[in-house]
Amino acid sequence: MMNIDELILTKKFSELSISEKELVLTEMSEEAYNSLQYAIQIKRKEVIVLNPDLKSGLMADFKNRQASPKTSAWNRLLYFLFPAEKQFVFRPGVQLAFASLVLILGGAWLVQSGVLSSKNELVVAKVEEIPSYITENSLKKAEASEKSIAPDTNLTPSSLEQKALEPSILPIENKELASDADKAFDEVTIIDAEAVEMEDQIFSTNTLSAGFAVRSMDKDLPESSSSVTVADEPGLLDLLSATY
Amino acid sequence: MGVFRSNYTQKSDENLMELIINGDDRAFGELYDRYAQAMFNYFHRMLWKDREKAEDFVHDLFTKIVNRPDMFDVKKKFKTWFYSIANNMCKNEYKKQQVRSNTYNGLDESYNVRSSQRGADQKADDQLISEEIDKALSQLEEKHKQVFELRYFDQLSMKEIADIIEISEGTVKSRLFYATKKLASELEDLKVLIGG
Repeated sequence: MMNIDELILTKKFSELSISEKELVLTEMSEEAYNSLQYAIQIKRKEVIVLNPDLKSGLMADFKNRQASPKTSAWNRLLYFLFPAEKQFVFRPGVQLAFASLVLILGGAWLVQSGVLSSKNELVVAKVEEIPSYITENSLKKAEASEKSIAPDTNLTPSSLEQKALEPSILPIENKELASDADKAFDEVTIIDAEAVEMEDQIFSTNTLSAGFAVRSMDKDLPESSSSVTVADEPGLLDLLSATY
Repeated sequence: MGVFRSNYTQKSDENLMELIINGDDRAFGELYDRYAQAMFNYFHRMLWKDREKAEDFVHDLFTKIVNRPDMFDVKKKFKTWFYSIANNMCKNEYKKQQVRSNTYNGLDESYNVRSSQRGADQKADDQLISEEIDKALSQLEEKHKQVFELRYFDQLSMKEIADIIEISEGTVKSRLFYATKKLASELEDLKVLIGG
């Protein structure tokens, strides 16, 4: 069975079947049905003629549109970003470009300042982390070490050092070796630290004898051992070890 | 030529749209012939019987097809899609009007102006009936009026109306039932004019 709206659109009241009439009469009177149906027909018959030029204009637009090269997706994107009818600054592409530029510059600035500040913060945090007693101790130690290991600013050899360096003090038996001394000493290797021996008399006499053996990196040169005896003076051992 | 013409008239709206997407201007002409007047009536009704505005809207509506025929999904029903666009255009216009003035229902104003303009000059019964139904419609809520007009004046099915205004079919039925009953009672007195 049809709904009332379908009946109104298709049948007059007199054309309705009994069941259809019963259906309609549950909702409205016969007069109301006829009036409504008639009013709807009147409204539908109302013809407001559309301007015929509208069609010709649209057809011309359509033909022009088709005559222009088919817009690819890329062209459409370009048109969307840079529509000709909009002012330059209002074109989405231009606005996007400006926004991107601002973001890039702003981002770079933020990163730069962020890195610097984080480094500074890190240093400050590290310094803050060091307990004060450690820094105080460090300072004290530094002061003490400055005092105990004072650098020898006076580099001129003392008289004792000059005496120790004199060739006469170092008896060199092998004159051939002596002639190659520069070369030999450039390549000399102390083969045994124990080769340096302290004579007993170091503590009982005023002289100090020390034995040593050297072997050149040049295998043509023979291994040589020797000893040196010098007058015992404070700091002489340091001098000797430094010399050899 | 006549053969081609008849071919176009027999094509479905959806087939015509496929042809339009491929640049067929005759298909566009055929589609225009099918819908232009109906859409004009629709806009005329919806936009406070403003003829010029209705024509502009028809132009804009078809321009959408001219510019972007590919917006239409050929798998969908053209009529529903087309009315949906028209309906949205009207909604946007209502919003614009609402911004311009707080009087949302411009129909009342328009109707009053028109009825006063017409006055005693238009005494034909049909015109009176037409005005009466307009008056009765204007007393309905917009949602009821819209469903009533789409069903009786545009002769759209319940399903199509539901799709266009994006409500359920059941809601369409209930709104239509209410509007029909209300208008029937309002127009009952017209029996004298129609000889009922």
